[in-house]
Amino acid sequence: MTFSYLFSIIRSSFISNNTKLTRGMSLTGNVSYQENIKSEKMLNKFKISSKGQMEIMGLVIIVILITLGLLFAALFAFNKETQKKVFTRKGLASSTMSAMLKSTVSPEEGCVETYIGRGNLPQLGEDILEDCALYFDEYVVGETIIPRGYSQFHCQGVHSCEFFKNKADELLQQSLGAWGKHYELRSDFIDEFPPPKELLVVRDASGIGCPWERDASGVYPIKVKFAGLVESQLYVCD
Amino acid sequence: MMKEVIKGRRTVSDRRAQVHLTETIAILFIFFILVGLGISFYGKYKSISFVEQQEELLQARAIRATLKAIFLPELLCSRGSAEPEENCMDVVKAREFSPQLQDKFDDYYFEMFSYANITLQQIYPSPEKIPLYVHVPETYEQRETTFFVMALRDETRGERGVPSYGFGYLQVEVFS
Repeated sequence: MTFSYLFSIIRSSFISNNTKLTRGMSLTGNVSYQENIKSEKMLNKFKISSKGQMEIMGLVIIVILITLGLLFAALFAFNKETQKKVFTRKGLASSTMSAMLKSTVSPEEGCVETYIGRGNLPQLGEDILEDCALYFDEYVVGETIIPRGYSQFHCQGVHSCEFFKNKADELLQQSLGAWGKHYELRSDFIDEFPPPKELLVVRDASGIGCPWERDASGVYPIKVKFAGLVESQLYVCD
Repeated sequence: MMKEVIKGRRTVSDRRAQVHLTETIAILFIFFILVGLGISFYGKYKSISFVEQQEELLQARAIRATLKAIFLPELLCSRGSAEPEENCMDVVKAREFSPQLQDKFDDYYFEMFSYANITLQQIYPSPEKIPLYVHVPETYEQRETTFFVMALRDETRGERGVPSYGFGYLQVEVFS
């Protein structure tokens, strides 16, 4: 299309040359010299205005072409950025969440289970997080956090919520954080009294988390004995 | 008198024709510059898209290699005849995998992974690096690394019949 526009401009300049010649020939034959000059001037005026329009059209086309080119280049550059990392990010959130909740607490952490004594390799998900939900009221009193509040498990001498938070932060920092990913882990406790309670939020070192485009692990539910359900989800983004 | 006028008119029209011709040449010049720019831009776009396509292919290969490594029956956390555990690798099996592979099954795994470097890295409870498959070419143009987080079962660290589960990741590097 643009080719035809440009050629029409070029063609019009040739056509105007031809018309000028034919008119000039007829004028020399029948009409007086003054009239000839007058009509020639009018013709020139008309020609100049139409030529100006054509030139503006040409400029507009060039501007449109350049704009389209820049737009295309920008779109291309933008696409390059987004497509690259989504490819490998998909399964990362889910696998990280699954592995973290399955991990058992090492005996070196000195976990003590009330009435039982030494904890028998408690799992971070099913034991520690469940315990955190059960004794959450002992961890957060009003607006105050009590790190050494009562809970059935006491690892490193702190409440289950505090321990889970610290451990999750450490593990995520050494994996996702080391690969330059941003992340946000959220755990909510759902019981018979809505709305759900926010148990904990763990964010990457920047503290921003993932407010923009992100991949989610999906909800990982853990049943809490006689109390409700803990729903955890991990968001990962670049 | 008339001859002079005609002569003068001819000179004017000649000049106009020259101007028109110059304009036409200028337009054609701009037109060809635009076409040239378009061609060069398209060429650059093609070359970049070719490089991107190569990168995507390498990424796809990395993903394929990762998936193969994750689901290797030789390394999975098996539970007798039951289905193996998801997102889990047996550390005891992994520790024995690499020496066995170097001795006897190098060709078999090379067909599966080609040039790659697969490492199992434990973060918790204690940091440990277990190389599973190492075939790094002497020279390579591109390298793509993929990570996959896994639970690492260790029967040797378990207590009262309960195995210990660590936290780590599988690192797969592919080369082209």
